[in-house]
Amino acid sequence: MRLEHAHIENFKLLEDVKLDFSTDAAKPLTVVRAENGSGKTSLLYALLWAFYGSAGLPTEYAKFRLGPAYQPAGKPIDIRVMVEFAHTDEAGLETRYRLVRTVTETPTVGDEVERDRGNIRLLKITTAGEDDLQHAEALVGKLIPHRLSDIFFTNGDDVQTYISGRVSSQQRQSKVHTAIKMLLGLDTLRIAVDDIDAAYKKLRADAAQSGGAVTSELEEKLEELDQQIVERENEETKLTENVDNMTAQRIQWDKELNSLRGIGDLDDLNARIAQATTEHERFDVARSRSIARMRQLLKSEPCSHAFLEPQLDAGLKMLSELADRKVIPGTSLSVLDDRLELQECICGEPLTPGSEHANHVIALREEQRMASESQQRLTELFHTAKRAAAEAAARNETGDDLPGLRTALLAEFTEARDSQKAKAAQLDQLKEKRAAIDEERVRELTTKIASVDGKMATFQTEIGRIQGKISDLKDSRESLKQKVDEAEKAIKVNHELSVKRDVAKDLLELGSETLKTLEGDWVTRVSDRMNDLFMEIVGANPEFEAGVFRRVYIDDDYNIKVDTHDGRTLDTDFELNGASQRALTLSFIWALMEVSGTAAPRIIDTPLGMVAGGVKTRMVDVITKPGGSESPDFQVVLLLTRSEIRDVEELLDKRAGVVRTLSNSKDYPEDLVYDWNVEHPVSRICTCTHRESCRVCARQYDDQHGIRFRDEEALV
Amino acid sequence: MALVANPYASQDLFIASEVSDRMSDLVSRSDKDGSKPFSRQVDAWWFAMCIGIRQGQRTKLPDRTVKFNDGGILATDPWRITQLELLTLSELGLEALQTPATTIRMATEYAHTGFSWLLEAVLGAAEPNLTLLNALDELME
Repeated sequence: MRLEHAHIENFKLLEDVKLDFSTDAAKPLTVVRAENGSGKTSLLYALLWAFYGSAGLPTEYAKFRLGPAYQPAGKPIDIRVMVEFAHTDEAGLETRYRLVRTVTETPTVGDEVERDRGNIRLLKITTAGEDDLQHAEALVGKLIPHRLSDIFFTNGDDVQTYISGRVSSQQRQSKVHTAIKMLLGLDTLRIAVDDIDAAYKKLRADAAQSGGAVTSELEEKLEELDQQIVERENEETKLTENVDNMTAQRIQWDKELNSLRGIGDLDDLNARIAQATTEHERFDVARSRSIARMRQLLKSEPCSHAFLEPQLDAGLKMLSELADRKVIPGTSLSVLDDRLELQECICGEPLTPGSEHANHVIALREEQRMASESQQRLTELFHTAKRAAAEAAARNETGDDLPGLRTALLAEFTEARDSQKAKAAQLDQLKEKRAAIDEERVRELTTKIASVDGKMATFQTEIGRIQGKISDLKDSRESLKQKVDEAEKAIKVNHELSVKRDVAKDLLELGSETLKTLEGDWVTRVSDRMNDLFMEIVGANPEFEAGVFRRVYIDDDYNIKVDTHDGRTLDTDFELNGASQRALTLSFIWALMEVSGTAAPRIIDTPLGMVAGGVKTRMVDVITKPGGSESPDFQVVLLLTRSEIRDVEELLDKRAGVVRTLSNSKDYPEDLVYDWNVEHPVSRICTCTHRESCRVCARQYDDQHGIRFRDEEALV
Repeated sequence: MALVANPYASQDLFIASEVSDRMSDLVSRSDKDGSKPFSRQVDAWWFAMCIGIRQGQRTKLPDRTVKFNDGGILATDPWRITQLELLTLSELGLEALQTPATTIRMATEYAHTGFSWLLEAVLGAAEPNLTLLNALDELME
């Protein structure tokens, strides 16, 4: 199968995203460059949802909104994902399809949603037009089986599930086994072996019956024991399935918990919110203070003086003329009183009581007292006005006049307001982040995990008990079987039936052995190829004794193992670093697909996290190598961050037929350079390659990494 | 410093009823409420008077008026008394200083002109203080 084109509408962050996939066999790689939170995982899940519906999504993910988070409660939204792909059948005939899955979702209060039944359409695209195909779901399941979705669609974080302890060893073995069986087509043989087993049991019972009461009774007992063993084994299987389901559920909860915690440490976030709140309040106080000062200014003398200056000057001038004409005395009564009290003249000389100077001032005061009330009033006004004019002139000098105060206040207010606004935005972001860490959910998940751990421990004990019982029953059976054989020898049984029974037994053994051999053979081939790929990626030479890795392989219990030169088998959880874990899993997937000849796209989200240096280059080299004419449908889609791309740019130049960039508006202004002016966070895709940026995707510091800026909005 | 005598203490201060009805757009008694430019009606009245003078236009009050205070309030900012007297001298002449009522009538009529501009300016303003401060440029031209 080969992906050609996808159009995603209203799925999570992806409001309207179109993506072309590279269909060039010589350049089989499609790269979607996207930073964390830009919609990479949404893109991966949108494709999974298109193919498998809610069943294709992680349990918890499917329960919550598929639509955008901002969609208000009670308002329905149509979610639609369209994928165009081509499929080449065993005869080499290629058919093109268009898959369209839609659902209408109505958010309710909280995170819950109501969804209609949704719709899936699979259209066969021919030169004559499009044919709507019946049983779309089943057909899609056949073209790209759901059980193998882990192989085709791989999340960087989940990529280790084949090898790491994030799942139980039982589940890991089962995953590896299932992948091998499904891709290598061994299930048909397994069914045939089961049929032969049933026929053998029937013939065995018939033969025993023909031998008389003794053999018949012994055979019945044998049958009874077989039945008990089957029942116990069924019990064991059921309990194991329960444990597997609980393990799967626990992984989901664990993942959700880690994801909730991973958003940021709650205490740290709370501290940052508290700090931002304090700073916001500080700016609010500064802003209020600035407003209060504006109020003060509007009612102040400098403001009034600035408005009335011509009139005030004219009034003062009139008073000066009156003073010149001696209509009003030169010095005011209150000033003379003040000076005498201070014993200092306006000219600075002392006014010592009894001195000539003091007596002169006293005489002036008496003269002033004799003047008319209106003259006194004019004199007071003249001197007050002169002082006011002098103060106004001083204010002009120091910039404390209206224009100066106004300019300073406006600057002060603008700074406080802008700082407050920026801080409010930061606070909103932090609170949004904290809201994502649902404390109640964290508590709920922690309780659930503890509870499921307890149940799993009980179940494991019960499984152990049943296994012991099965072992006892098998011993009893073996001994009874000997008795049956001896009895059959002593008593003549129906010859024809015993021959048929023996043939059935031989066939059963043959079938079982064949199945075992085939599985073993395939496993060996996958194992060998995985070893080659892994060694190539990690750059290890198995012959080089000083190296760490000697070989990687799949053992008889379907465990993926790593042996070292010093004779140890590494614990893949703790003794392999993240890069090697990823390398190993990708090697397994690639080996499996190569050996089985499966042609399907491999879509991998953040595969290069924790991978650097030569391993990174070799990993990209190995997983993007063109398949050649034998694998025309070979296709790889990598969802990569800028840091993952770093150092492999040249390889991407050579291998990538299509490169697109996915960005999210919420990253402005911290990371994105340009504001998209959108009301809600939204992801958009542009045609920028890993070497370019535009007005949509340009990020701070892009220029420091040699990314060329195109001054346009290069939206798809 | 000696106190400035207030010849306007016994004069009542009036504004038009229609202005009084909208005074809450301009005045808030709370110092913490920065959403209004003034904390007292007399401050709004004085500012309106300054605008009226700047615009050089006196407007008679309509029949329906409201007394909002008396001239005694001017003593809380003595510089206003000085400025009012200088205004009287320049606008009405020396004789008018003897009739405080004439001065207050002049101030009231200028204020009535200014109130039209002021109320229009703050109408719907998110930050009336800022609006007024920004508009000062235009007024001072």
